[in-house]
Formats: sequence, structure tokens, C-alpha cells
Amino acid sequence: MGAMIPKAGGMTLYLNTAYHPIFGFLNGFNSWVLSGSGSIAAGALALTGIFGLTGTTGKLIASLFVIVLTIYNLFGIKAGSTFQNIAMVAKMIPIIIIMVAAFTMGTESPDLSLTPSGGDISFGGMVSMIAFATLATLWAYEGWVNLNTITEEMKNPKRNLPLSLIIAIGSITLLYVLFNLAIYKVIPIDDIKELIGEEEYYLGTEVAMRLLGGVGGTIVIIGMVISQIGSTNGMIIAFPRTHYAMAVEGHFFKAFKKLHPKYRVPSTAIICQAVITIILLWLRDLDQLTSLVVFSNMLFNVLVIIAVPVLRKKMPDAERPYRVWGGLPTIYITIAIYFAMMINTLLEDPLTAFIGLIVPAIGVVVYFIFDRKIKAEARNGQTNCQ
Amino acid sequence: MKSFKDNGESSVSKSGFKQEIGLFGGVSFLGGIMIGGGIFYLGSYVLMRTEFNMGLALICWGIGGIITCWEDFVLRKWAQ
Repeated sequence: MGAMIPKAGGMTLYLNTAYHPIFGFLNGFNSWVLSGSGSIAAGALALTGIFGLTGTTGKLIASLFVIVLTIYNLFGIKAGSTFQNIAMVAKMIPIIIIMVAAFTMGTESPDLSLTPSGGDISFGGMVSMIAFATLATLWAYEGWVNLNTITEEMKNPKRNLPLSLIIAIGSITLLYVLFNLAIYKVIPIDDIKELIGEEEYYLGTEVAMRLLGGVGGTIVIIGMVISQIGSTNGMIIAFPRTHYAMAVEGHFFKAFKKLHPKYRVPSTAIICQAVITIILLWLRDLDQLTSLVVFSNMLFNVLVIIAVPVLRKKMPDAERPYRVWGGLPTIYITIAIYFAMMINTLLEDPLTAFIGLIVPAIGVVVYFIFDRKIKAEARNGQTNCQ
Repeated sequence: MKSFKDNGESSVSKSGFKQEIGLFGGVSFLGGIMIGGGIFYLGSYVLMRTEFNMGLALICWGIGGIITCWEDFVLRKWAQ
């Protein structure tokens, strides 16, 4: 999509075409206030968590971390993207060390049969179990949409954008499967149960400890830190480009479409995002932030998927270069799964669901304020976001 | 939007951004964003949810990737 419409940020234009321009705006507004800034806040808090820093100290260090990365990214895309290259290479080293050690030295032969341990389970129960477990993996696949946001800064985006996505998602999927298999080859399932029972979730660290001793554990911790900095930095680069695109379109603060004369980055959008991130970071804890972001993203994923049949009706003659696997039933099943997961959140964690729903509602009001402004041709200079 | 011509040669796009990111830059940008701390602890949550069935857990990781790829195709192709 980005390759066709280099000016659009992410899903915005897709939602606009299917429904109404307000939906694309809401997606951007929601990312600005909640999902985008919330993800950065979660990334910063996860980093301090690795060092065992929690509470006020953790939040102070996390805020400082956001400020430092923000300043770093004000000096041009090259600086930020160079760091991404370094982080990418650096964090692969410990992951590869763990996997090579596990596959060469691992002595366990994990039982990969698909029959549930708890005896008989109905087909429906199996499906809902798989859906629930897959949902947990999706947090690890978040973020691919953001490549669209740097389209304008890519060389030959028509070729490089889709190619980057396919190469990246394909290899990352393989990496996740192999990484988990590597763990199973070292730690027996009963030990895994025991570790998780003690809330020791970092099984990769345990693998390194068992095979390579304390040095191995240290390497993994360094890898965790670098990857956490890398993913947080990537988000700090990507999201303000969406805010820039929204401002260029018109329904957003005019100050966000200004590029720094020398460094060519949307400075105001970058600084404003840091402010919102730090506010969220102080309002919510890490687990509250991740569930909020997941719920909030689910809402827009549903809209994107519903858009498929909507667009089929709207543009029946449009050329379709491919067919959705399984056709419309696949789409309806996917929508049903998403709704089930959202209702589940609504029951289990009403506050998260409430915040996730109220922000887009506020967005509707904000959209019409900008809409009136545009229509009235009011040229009242700059609007500050703070 | 259909009349857009790819100006891959120039170093500054019409809107003023510098075009400095290549294929490796794109893949590492995605790798940098997608591979976070999650790889190190999410496996535990997945195992808990599959009642410690390791085969199912690996399948779920695969399905997660397929869903992500599928969403990408839906989004990108339909925008045409």
C-alpha cells in the first residue's frame, strides 16, 4: 500500500477509501494518544525492567531514556537508521549463540505431539486454545505496519518496500519458531513448568546459563537490552512520520508538517510524541500498557478486515491481483475471532477496554473541530499540541 | 495517486525528506521494530496457554507469522 501511495501513513488511506476520511484520522489519532505512544512507553519500561528497576525509579529512568532517544532522532533519519542497523546486527549475535549452542549441545528430544496433555479436548476447545495462544505471539509481530511510514525516505520504495516486508516477516517467523524449539531442546518440560511457576519467564537466559554458564547469561541480557533499545528507537522514528502525513493532509496540527530546515525531520511531531509517551508512562504500568495497546490495535484491525468485504461491494470491478485465501468465510471467521477477543477483554479488564474505546470517541470530536477549521479557511498560524 | 511516478534516483523527495534507506535498511528497520524483548519471554505465555504442549506452541508461533503476512497482503493489495 505504501508503495502505491507514498504520501499516506500506514493504514490511513486504506480506511479512508473503505469508509470515510474520519477512520483514517482516528487510526492516526489513536496511535498518537494511545497505541503508538503507549508502545514506546512500554518499550522504555521493559528496558528498565531488565535491570530490575521498578516503581518510581524505573519510571524516572524510562522517561530519561525516551528523552535521550528523542534528542538523538532530531538529528536526521540517517542517524536513527544507522543505529537500527547496528542494533539489528548486535542483537542477532546472542540469539544465534543461544540457538547454535542449543541445537548442538541440547540433549532433550521434546515431545512435539499435538495431543493435549489434559486428555480429551473438543475441537472447539482446541481452536480457542490455539487462538488464545496465538494472540500472545502477536505482540512479537507488532510493528510491521510502520515500514509504510518511512516510505518517503526509502530509495526505490516500489521494489524495496514489499521486498523488505516479505523478507523481514518470513525470517522473523522462522526465527521465533526455531528459537522456541532451541529452548525445548535444552530445558525439559517439567523444568520449564517449574520456572514459569516461579514467574521466571526468560527461558532464553536459562538456556544460556545452563550451556554456557554466567557468561552466557550476561550475553543474553546484553542482547535483551540492545533489542529493547532498537525497537523503542524504531518506534520513535516511525510514528512522527504518520503525524506528519496527517498534518500534510490537513486534519491535524499544522506545526507537525514542518520539517527541520537542516535535518529534514518533523521535529515538533517528534518532541510532542515524547511528551505524550512520558505522560502515559507515568499513568500506567507495563502490563497495563501492553494490554491497552493490544486492545486498541484490535479495534482497528477489525476495521481493516471488515473493509475487505466493504471494498468488494464498493469497487466490484476493481482488478484483484490475488484472492484472499479461503475467500469471504475466512474474513468473517477472522472478524468473529477478533470480536470474541475484544469482548473477552471487556469482561476481564473493563478499564483498559473503556480507555481503548473513549480515545477514538474523543478523536471523532477532534476530527470535526479540524474539519470546521479547514472549511472556514481559518488561517490562525500554528497550533501547539501541549 | 495512480499518476505517482517513483523517483528512486533523486536523494530528496518532493516533500523534502531525504531518501536514504535501502533494502537492508528496510529489513533492519523492521527487524529492529518487530524483534523486541518479546522473543525472550513471550514463549512462556504461549506455553502456558497451550497447557505446556510444545508442538502446539510452535504451531501458534507459525500462525502468528502467517496472520501478520496475510494482514500485510490484505492491506497492500487492496489499496490498489
